[in-house]
Amino acid sequence: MVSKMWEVLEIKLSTASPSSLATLVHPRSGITKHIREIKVLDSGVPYFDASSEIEDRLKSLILAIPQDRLRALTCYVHLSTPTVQLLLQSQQKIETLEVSTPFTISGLPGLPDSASEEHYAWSTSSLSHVTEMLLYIDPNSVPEERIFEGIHSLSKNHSKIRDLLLFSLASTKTDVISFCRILRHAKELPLFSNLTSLRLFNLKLAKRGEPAISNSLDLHKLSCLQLQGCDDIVPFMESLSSYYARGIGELTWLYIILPDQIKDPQNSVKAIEALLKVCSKLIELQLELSGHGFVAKDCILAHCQKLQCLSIGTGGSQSRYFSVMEMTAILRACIHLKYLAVNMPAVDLGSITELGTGFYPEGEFADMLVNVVPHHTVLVH
Amino acid sequence: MVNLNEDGATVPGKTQVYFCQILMQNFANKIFRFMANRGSNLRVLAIRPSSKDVRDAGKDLGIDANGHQWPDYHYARGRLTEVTGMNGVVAHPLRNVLQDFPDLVSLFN
Repeated sequence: MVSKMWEVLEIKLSTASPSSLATLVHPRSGITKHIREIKVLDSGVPYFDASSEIEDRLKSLILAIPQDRLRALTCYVHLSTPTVQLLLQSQQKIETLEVSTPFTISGLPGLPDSASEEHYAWSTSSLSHVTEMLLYIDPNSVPEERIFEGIHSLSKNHSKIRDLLLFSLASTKTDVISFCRILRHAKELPLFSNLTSLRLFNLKLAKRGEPAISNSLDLHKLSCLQLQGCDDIVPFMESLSSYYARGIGELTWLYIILPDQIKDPQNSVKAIEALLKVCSKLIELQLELSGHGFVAKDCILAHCQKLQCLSIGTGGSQSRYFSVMEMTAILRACIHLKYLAVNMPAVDLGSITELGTGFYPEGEFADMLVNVVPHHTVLVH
Repeated sequence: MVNLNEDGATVPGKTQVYFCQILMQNFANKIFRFMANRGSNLRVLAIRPSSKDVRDAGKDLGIDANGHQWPDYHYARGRLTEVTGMNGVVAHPLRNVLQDFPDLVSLFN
């Protein structure tokens, strides 16, 4: 029981008390030998806010874990090269590495760490078990060839990678090169032959005329695609639609969050609809298209035989929602649905002094709830 | 929409936190009862109001006694028996929804 309880350690290092940390790492506590996964909850901006205190605390934690026990580390506070060396020297069976450090910034921009090229080669050879990795890219300060070299090297040296996360440090509002433009340098095609999950954050995806993503990355095992905060999505989605229209691939999990400001919002929604029409094996679909609206209900109905999780939102401030008629059609057709997250019609919760007479489900709100009755979980936005 | 008080005047932060806790609890109770009366197996209800007006002097509201913070409120279906023997469905506040329902991880990420 104790071993299970400490398997995943979620910790906010900046606010953890010195006494609780001391207890945690004390040799007689018997806790650290059970830890397999560390999630550092402190937030950070990659390579701008190195915090020596957080880093020192993490180091003392890593030092207290017996050799090769750790399987996963997530830490978005920037870590210096020596800290990552310390980690890799003692924990070489890491499978999931989501950290911000010079080694995970593709192309190694000019950072104060000494001998970063050598460190890169050494770090790469130390991670033979890694299957999930986060790679930062910085199109504002690193030439595209060097960014590509970083991605290529990851693919070449870590053939076990199944889950790839790419996070751009440049704002999508600036005129930066796209992801597909970076990948056009690929000569030995395609990269990442075991990829099952691709998660892209804050990237410009593709401009018209740039190579299709399926030419550069091996998508035939891809089951999960997540696009969050990305722009220039139309050519990217069109190339994906062409790929899946050929009847190959097994995409079962699609998650798209669009930012408020994107180029060509109308065609972006249409491109998502086109993809939904050709990928009919989705089990989970989560779309948050901000103020750009919803996809047509028929695109959701195309997945009604398999869909178990559906989340359709507009991201908070928007009060738009599917009509009762549309939701009735969707929920009647999606017979395997277990999880649902939708925008609901506005309601007045009444006054604090009149709880007995205040809100009661009625009108459109009640009609919407009645549709959910046969299903199990609801998330009301 | 949440009417924290009828005249729309500003109320102190701690009071707002408490008001929101009570209003959301009442809202969740009513939804669970409505659903239960119609034979629903609804297990978890997560509420995220779109209103951004509920603030404390321009800052986020504090955390309430259930561990909830505007605008995220999570409840599981529960049952309550009164001393009189009457019992009914209630919304049980979840302090950490993912700890109790880890299968919801993809929805909350």
